[in-house]
Amino acid sequence: MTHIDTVYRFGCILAEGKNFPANPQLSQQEKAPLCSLAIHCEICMNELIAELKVKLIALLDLTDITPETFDENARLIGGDLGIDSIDLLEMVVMIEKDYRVIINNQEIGEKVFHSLTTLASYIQEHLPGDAV
Amino acid sequence: MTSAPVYIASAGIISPLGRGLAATEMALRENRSAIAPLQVFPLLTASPLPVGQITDLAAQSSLPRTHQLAREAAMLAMRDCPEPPDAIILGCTTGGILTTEQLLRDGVADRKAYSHHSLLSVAEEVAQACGCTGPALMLSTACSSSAVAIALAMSMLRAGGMRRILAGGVDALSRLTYFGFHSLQLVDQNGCRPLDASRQGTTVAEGAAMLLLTAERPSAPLAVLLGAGLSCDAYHPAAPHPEGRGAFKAMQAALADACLQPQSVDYINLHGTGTRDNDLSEAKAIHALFPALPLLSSIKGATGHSLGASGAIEAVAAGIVVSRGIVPGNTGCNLADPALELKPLTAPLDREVRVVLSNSFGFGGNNGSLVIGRADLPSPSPARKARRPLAVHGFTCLTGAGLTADTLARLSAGRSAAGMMAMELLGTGLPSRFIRRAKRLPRLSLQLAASIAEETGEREKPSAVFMGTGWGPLSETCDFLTKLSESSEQFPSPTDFVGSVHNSPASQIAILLGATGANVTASGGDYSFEQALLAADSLLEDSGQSALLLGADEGHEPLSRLLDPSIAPGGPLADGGGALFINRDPAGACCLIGLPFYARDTGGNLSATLIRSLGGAKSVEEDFAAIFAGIPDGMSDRGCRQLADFLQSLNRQIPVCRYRDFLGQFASAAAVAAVLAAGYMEKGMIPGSILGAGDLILERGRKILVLGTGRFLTAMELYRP
Repeated sequence: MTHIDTVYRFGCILAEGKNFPANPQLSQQEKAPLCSLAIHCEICMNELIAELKVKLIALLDLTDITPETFDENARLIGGDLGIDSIDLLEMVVMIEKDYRVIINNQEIGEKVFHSLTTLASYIQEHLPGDAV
Repeated sequence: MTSAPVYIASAGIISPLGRGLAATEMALRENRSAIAPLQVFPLLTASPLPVGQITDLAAQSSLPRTHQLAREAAMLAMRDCPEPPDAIILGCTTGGILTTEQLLRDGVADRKAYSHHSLLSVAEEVAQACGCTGPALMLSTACSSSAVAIALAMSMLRAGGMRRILAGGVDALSRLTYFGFHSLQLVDQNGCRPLDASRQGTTVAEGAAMLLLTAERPSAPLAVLLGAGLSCDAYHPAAPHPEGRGAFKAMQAALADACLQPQSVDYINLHGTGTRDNDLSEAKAIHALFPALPLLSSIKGATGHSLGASGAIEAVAAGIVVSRGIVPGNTGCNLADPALELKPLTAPLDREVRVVLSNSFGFGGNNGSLVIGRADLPSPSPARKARRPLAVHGFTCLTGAGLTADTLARLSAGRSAAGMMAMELLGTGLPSRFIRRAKRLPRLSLQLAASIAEETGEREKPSAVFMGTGWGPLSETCDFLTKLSESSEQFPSPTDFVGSVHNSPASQIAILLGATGANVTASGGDYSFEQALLAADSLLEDSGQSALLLGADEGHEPLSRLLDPSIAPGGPLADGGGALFINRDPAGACCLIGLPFYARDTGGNLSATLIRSLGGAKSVEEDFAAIFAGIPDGMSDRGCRQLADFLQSLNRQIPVCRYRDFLGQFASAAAVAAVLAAGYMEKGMIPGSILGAGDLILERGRKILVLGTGRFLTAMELYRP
């Protein structure tokens, strides 16, 4: 995986506000201008977290919180929000659908869904097409 | 507690292992798994997962698979019995959904095409096939459905009055359950291997089993039904209690009901689905109850998990165990999970078995355990005693006008309360984390439960819940199927699947109220509330137990119009429900409630039998102050004729109100009618606005009759103690 790939993909997510192309066929030249964004990877991560907050509030109907009050480092499952194993699976479906990242192992799932930050990191690391 | 046994006179079974007792026994002796890749319906994208299926069912039948399976099993069970059963009690989770799924995909708008969707239609099919004119009840408590059906049948036979009941369960494979379990990551790609260390889930299956139960000993019974125990985890919508709290309680109650100690059990037929959580919690419950472990195994590695049918299929298997002296192996388990500390039988065993405990646990923590014994076990003489009637200590309803006070005010003003309360107003006062996943039906139900809990205040909380819902959670069902089809079967919603089971609202009520006793959902179309009342009257203990008895339905576009034949085409949708807080203590009760009559209309004149069951024409004329008649719009010709027949047989004119005219057309409108009757009983007066006459004073001793008409004729009565 390269930073360029990561940056490119999140660039697309930000640009479109949702999904990215499944198999972007970009030449090295086309990717090159994005290199300057590599140093802003942390910003991309923050944007992904912000996006996930909005998605999860809608997906799980979390009416008690707003993106502003959603603590990305708080315990996600079994915490104050009342998110349980069914919600976890609902998130698994959404993440596969919207990011094409598959989480089908319970043990991995428990680590991935520890907090919003760990979830965002996992998505970022496992975006498809990455040269792992 | 009575120990009166009930006999399993005969049984019919059709499962992936084969048809009939002999084929089933042979497959169990061979320790053979029938699990194979899905063939029943085509998939759009993914390759087929393993399932348990019946591959030789007539494909051209006009009936959905569920109805065919139920009919075949019923015919097998009734083969040697020339007389029809007095009642049919089935358990099922999805009715004709496989057919409905295809119709919805094809955009079929003809309502007639959906006539076999309802769960009740399966019980009606069986009733028709065996000529039963009594009640045809349909229970839906997820994977414990048919165990609960058998428990209810046993209770009704013990109470006297009925001689024979055909009880059992059925479920066919469908996209809803196939993709639903997959979305919950509960399907083992290699086929289910209960209790195995490397188990990864269950295998969805289909099948049907019917047991002809009799109160009197037949000449050659298959087995005796010694006891049953029901409980609810009141813990989580899908996951079992981690310590097996509800499972323990159900097994313990079943043994107490059978007057047996744990050491009397020779073999436990495990629920054993093969999911990591189920097998672990069941193991913990067994360790907590049994000082020394009996023989045990799960047969789901052979049959797969046939959901609502599994309790009946395994009750029949238990009958084979005690009658044939064979204990099945735990097919598919190679290395037992050391964490379970159980030693399941790895291979079938020839062994005389006297007593079997058979477990069935379902979503929502709805648990049922049955105790089945060898036919030659000494049978104590029946110790039947008349139970006190159910007493109503609180009531609440919800209509288009709002909660009870608003509804009553609207009706007193001579206006209609029919309609649908705004979604945002439902669930007010309930914690948002509690209702955030709840769509319309669970919200209506939780609102009713919260409202009655508030009304009854500090008094004891109900430990049991009996709920009737004609159509179940339609929003969840529709959303699940829509997302499934829109994503080319790739992204079904686990939340919608868990929410779609018909007992989901009642199990959420159990969590809200901490109700860990019996939790029974009846899904009987327009008669769902009456069925729940019958279940409550049969299962609620004589003392020390209170229950919430409710009926609720949601109006749903487009499903209500497509599925519910009682709604006239083009008419406005309405929904709501009613709930009663009940026990058997008449002291301080606002009224008593009973169900003296329930019969299927097969064309004859039912009014004579109805009047007889109410004590004769003279009693009816003297006792009943008013009749609340439920006449479904879509069946108004038939309903009006039934009502007219009844009234013509009387010499006195009794004031009648047709309550659906002002409560709206929905299956559980009868629950609201019962609440109105209870409310008017308490006040001692029925407002003239609903009778089209002057106010009617209810003198002590006068009763209100709540009639249900249509395909069945039912009569509830409410009166002051």
